[in-house]
Amino acid sequence: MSDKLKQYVQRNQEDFELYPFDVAHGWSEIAPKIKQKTKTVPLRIWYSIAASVLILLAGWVGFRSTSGTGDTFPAELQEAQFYYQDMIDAKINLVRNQVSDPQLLQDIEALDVAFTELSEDLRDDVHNEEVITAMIDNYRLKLKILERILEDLEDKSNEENRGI
Amino acid sequence: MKGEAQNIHKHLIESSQKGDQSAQSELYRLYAKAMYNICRRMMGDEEEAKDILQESFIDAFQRLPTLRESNTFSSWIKRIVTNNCINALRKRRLMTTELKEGWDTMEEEQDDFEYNKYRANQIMGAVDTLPDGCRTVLSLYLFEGYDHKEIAQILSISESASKAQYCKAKARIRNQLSDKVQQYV
Repeated sequence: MSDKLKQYVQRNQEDFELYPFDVAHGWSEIAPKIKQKTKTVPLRIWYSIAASVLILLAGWVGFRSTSGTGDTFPAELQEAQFYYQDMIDAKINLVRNQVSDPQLLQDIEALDVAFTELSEDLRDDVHNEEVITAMIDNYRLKLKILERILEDLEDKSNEENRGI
Repeated sequence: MKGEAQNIHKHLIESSQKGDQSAQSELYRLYAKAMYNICRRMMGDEEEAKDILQESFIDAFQRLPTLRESNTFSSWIKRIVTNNCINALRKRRLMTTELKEGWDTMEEEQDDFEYNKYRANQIMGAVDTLPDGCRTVLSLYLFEGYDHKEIAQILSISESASKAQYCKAKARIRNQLSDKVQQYV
């Protein structure tokens, strides 16, 4: 049986989009809520990932370094350390100058402490290739986290300047 | 030109997935009115429709990184919106009770009604007066393109109950429209 109402609606589909909607106003109401969810949560996730990686590495290093020598860092690692640490210090200062969220500052501190402790643990096995790679990866991870935080802070500041 | 529009659309979705707020804003601008109209037709109430639209877009942007195929965005967000409307209607409870009422036996009548004598806003005025249950079935079938089998799955009812609710909705709309005409005669 033909459905005359359905046919009528299909023929005049656009006429049934008849309810007006203020898109600009709608967006102004949801934009801050989306920002909260898409900006803050990923940072927390970053911290969780970083913390998990650190715990795993610390466990692995503890297992590997039972016969550690306590030597100084090899040249390759020292070079990487200088290179990354300079950049990390600069970015940490930038973040600290811009962040007012006490929880975020606390997370950054905790991350810093965890990295320092891990470096100390790794020192016992610094001639092992895998340990060197792990330490360099740590610097890269820390740098990446800080870059991500700064990108978020920059986005936030641009949006505030544009009045979003 | 169509290909170009598709590329821009794909780019908007991918940028939104990365959290780019200007892309999200543009995506919202493209879809908000159509999605609001779905909410408004299903809920029959302006304020509730706005609330559900807001909730749906927040949901969608939060879940967007999990969307694998950007070309399915349109049906994906429509599904989020209709699901949120259905959940809100379920909370009213009236819909669930009403859908379970004994309409399964209702047969579709011969429909010779001249709908084209009426404007869309007159028909929608009649739709707004329908009870939640049959308005939901009618909206899903008539405007959102679901068939009765799909509606049955979405609403956890039988296919025949969906058809019966639709017949009931149409009968009420016809009565409403005829009454209006008689008022002016």
